[in-house]
Amino acid sequence: MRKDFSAYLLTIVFFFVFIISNENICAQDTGTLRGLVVDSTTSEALAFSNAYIKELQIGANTDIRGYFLIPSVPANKNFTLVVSYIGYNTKTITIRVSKGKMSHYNIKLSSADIQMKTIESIGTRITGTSDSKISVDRISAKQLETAPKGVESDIFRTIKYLPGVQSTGDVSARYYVRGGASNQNLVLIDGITVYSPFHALGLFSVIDPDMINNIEFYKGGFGAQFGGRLSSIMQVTTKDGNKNIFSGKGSASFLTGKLLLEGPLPSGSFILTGRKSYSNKILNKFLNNGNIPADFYDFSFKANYSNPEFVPGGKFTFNGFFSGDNINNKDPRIEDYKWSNKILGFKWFQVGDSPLFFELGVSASSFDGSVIPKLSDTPATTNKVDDIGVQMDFTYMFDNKDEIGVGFHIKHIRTTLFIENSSGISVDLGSQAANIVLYTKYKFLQWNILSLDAGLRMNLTTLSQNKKVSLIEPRLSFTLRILPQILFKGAIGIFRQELITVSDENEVINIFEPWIISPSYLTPSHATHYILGVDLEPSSNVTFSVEGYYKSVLDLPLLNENKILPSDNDFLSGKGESYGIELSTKISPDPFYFTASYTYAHAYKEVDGLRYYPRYDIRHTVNLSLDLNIGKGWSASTVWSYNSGLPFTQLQGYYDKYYFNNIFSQWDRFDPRNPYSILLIQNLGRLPDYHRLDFTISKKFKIEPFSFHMDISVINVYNRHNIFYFKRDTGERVDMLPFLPTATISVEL
Amino acid sequence: MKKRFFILLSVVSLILVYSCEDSLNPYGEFQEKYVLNCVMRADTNFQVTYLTKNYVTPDFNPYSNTNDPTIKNAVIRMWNGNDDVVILKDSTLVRPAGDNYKTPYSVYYTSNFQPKPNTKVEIEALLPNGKRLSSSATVPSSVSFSGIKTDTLIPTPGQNFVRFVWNTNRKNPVFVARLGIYYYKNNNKQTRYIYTIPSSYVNIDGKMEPVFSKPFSTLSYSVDLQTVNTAMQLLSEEVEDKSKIQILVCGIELLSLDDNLSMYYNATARSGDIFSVKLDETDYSNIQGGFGVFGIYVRNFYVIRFSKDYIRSYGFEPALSF
Repeated sequence: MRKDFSAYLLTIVFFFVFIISNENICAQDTGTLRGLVVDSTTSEALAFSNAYIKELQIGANTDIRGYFLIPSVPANKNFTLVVSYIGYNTKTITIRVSKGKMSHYNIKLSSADIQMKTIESIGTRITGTSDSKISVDRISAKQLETAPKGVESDIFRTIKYLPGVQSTGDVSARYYVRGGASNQNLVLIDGITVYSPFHALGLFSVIDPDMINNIEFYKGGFGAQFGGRLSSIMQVTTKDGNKNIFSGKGSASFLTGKLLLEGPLPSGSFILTGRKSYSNKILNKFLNNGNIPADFYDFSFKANYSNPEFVPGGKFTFNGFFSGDNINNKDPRIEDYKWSNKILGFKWFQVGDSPLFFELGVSASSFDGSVIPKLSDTPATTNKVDDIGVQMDFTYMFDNKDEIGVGFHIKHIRTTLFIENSSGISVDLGSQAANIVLYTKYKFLQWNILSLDAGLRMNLTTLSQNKKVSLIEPRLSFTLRILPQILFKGAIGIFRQELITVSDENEVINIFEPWIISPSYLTPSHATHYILGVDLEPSSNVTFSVEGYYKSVLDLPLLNENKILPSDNDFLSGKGESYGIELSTKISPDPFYFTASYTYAHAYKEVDGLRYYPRYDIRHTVNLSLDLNIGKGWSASTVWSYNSGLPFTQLQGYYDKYYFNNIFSQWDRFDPRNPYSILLIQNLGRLPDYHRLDFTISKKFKIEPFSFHMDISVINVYNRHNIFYFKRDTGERVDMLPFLPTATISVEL
Repeated sequence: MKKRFFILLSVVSLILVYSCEDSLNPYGEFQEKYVLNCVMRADTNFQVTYLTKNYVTPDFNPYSNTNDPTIKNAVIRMWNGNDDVVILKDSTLVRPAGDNYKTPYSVYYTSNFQPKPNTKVEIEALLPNGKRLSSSATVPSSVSFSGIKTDTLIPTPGQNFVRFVWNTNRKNPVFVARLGIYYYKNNNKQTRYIYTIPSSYVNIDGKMEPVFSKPFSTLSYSVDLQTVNTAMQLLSEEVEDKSKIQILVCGIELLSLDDNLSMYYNATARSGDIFSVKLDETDYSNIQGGFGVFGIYVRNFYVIRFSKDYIRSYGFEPALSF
């Protein structure tokens, strides 16, 4: 039955592709305008820029590749196309489309060289744009340049300032989205999964901001093209490289040294980035001045080729990303760790004479992680994930502005996880399977007042061997613009996750999270998102947004904390629930830029009848940021973050516990003084509130032929003693980052 | 420009006012809990039990507690299958110097209780406040060492390790092993001494540090011959007159833990790595009404001879004539 169903769906896909590839369907008195918006100096695509036709008051936003499509443009008439993008000079050009044809324009925007602002959701009052506005934040490369720096510019630490994104402290870059665990977040680099996107005990992300063109961050309600995770999607699109001139950039912080090289290739360009840690002194500040002998690197490359004589309208890219971490202890009685990511991808992106975008991608992603116990008591662990994928995505825009998208994704995943159990026996929890997904989505955009995005994600085969797995994931979102200044929005959808991590949620720091396919005794987890919100734009430099959400998760895999015997299951099936409301505003009277966000949230988990707060259940979160463009290359920014206390498990006292290390002792020498904590109900207590002020001052200057960019940052300006955790065995209070001045400098040729 | 800086400064100053450190009380509501620990040996009739209660400390450091948590005047009974009940006596011992607890060390003991193989043993403690703690355990069977697979002589020609092999009829057994050099001093054959051979040594800053074995489930135990050599060398360096040391044998003490102790070990042995910071810990107890453990182990013993030449190569004398 399932085979018949799959064959039926495949037939529909190929029929659909055949039909919409036929150019003759565009045979009216109108034509379609297609544009590619790029930076004038580097020719990097400018994602999320605005393009609108002044006389017709219709427009679109560019996608992550810099493309936009405006259908139904009256043919053979001149119109004024206005293309704008924050940080660039607005460009106005005259366009003219041919009847029944696709007219293509390359538009180059020149940098306005103004101080960019911190993160914002790009909003536009142009009707008819096709991009989703629900629970998504879009971050451009320019915005990343001015994001709060801290020790090291980091995208994961940057997104923590977004409403709905929670953090459990300064020390870890792990993030939690709307009450979901950190392993429910998918991180994609050019569409390829990164399984362990953290360096050095999770303190930093592996993704060097210098390699990023743009980021789309979905906090929920994401479209049918995305799957495999319950909570969020971070889609990182990397730069293509400067198509015009060769250039290089070197930079250094207290932690790492970085190098970037880019330049033109025949009919294309390339970019290479590399980063390497060289000092642990600053890292030690993150762990209460403990010694972290961490050493890490990341390296990426990308080359693209686009030759109209080879394949008209085609663009080929080949990219790779590699990261590695080592924690090597000199003492043979202390264990070592190493983990690495490797990614290779090839893409063929094709535009033609019809309003059809086609992309074929082939990818390979692997993760290796090892705990090498040496002579310590730590159990040996080896985890490996091999992920090979092929995906085809089609997007077609009708003359009435509606869009249809179809995709076919095949992913074969093999995991191995050797864990040494307490009896010293190594067991493999790994398995392998293929996930074949067919998705289709229809964007109803023909009415200016209402847009709908309905999608269906169908799992033709699943990774899990559990028979109760659900195959269908419906998704629906809408926007309703009752006034140009007021936009209502909402989304509902079902999301599945079959890859899980063997991680202990009670660990405030863990080295890496081993991945496995959900074991057959567990029904794979699935979540339902309900989102409602409203965007207000009372004036051109003031925006206000409110979003409420409710998320329920069933069959949530939770590590079996009561596993005693090797034969006991490693996971239990639980439930999760979270809800909250997020408010944010942006006010930008030049030269100030002020953002404020507030999140009120609840999160629960339930296992074996016990309902409790997970560690990242934070009731109130406030983030305030103020940027100031001082002029003459100077800028300053300050960020103040506040959250109410994290949950923690209270103590009922201690008792002297018996350990086996003295079993050979004579009875009269037996000393039972090994204090052990007696705990109350999990996470019922609350730590004190957290708040911190960071300040950064930046200066750009030139000493020909070099351009310099210098940042001096102060973390925790008023040296607030934010508690990180309480050491039960010694009574010691461990605080988060103290007052910490840092600096980075980059030199560009 | 000045105005802008003034605004920024004002915001910063406002926040600075709110920058004090909050205190944290990690304790919840205190409730008295009771702990019974009795790890019984099946090869002796002398058994000891400890009865304590939980405590809190004002500075949250459990090691700073000076109030002895021992519970006195309890009635502890134990019985072996259908045998008559044995009531434990209470006694006190002098604590070692430097112990935080200043009061004498209270224990309950009996010298008249030897568990019988494969029988159920029960224990019950009636506390002065009327609370009752109880548990039961089954005596594990002994292991049988394989005379064929176990080495017979140290060093074995052509072999660079020493191995002991045994069999058991239990599922998921857990063993604790201690390997030792047994010897006499000054021809005094009344007292046997043991010099423990660890599972390995590591050289830390020029000093050989022992690494001891963890409890395990395999049916064999081996150490490198180099480790035995190092132990012999270290023993020879510790004594002034090596000729007064008579080496007996290399012996293994193999403790076979019952199911309770095995599970207790599995629950307590999950030591984390040095960087991971875990906030909640798994506890396991088979004591009804409280914490702690009641379990039984059987002590198994097996020896291997040292070659006389090997003993003499370290300056010692062999104690055995064969």
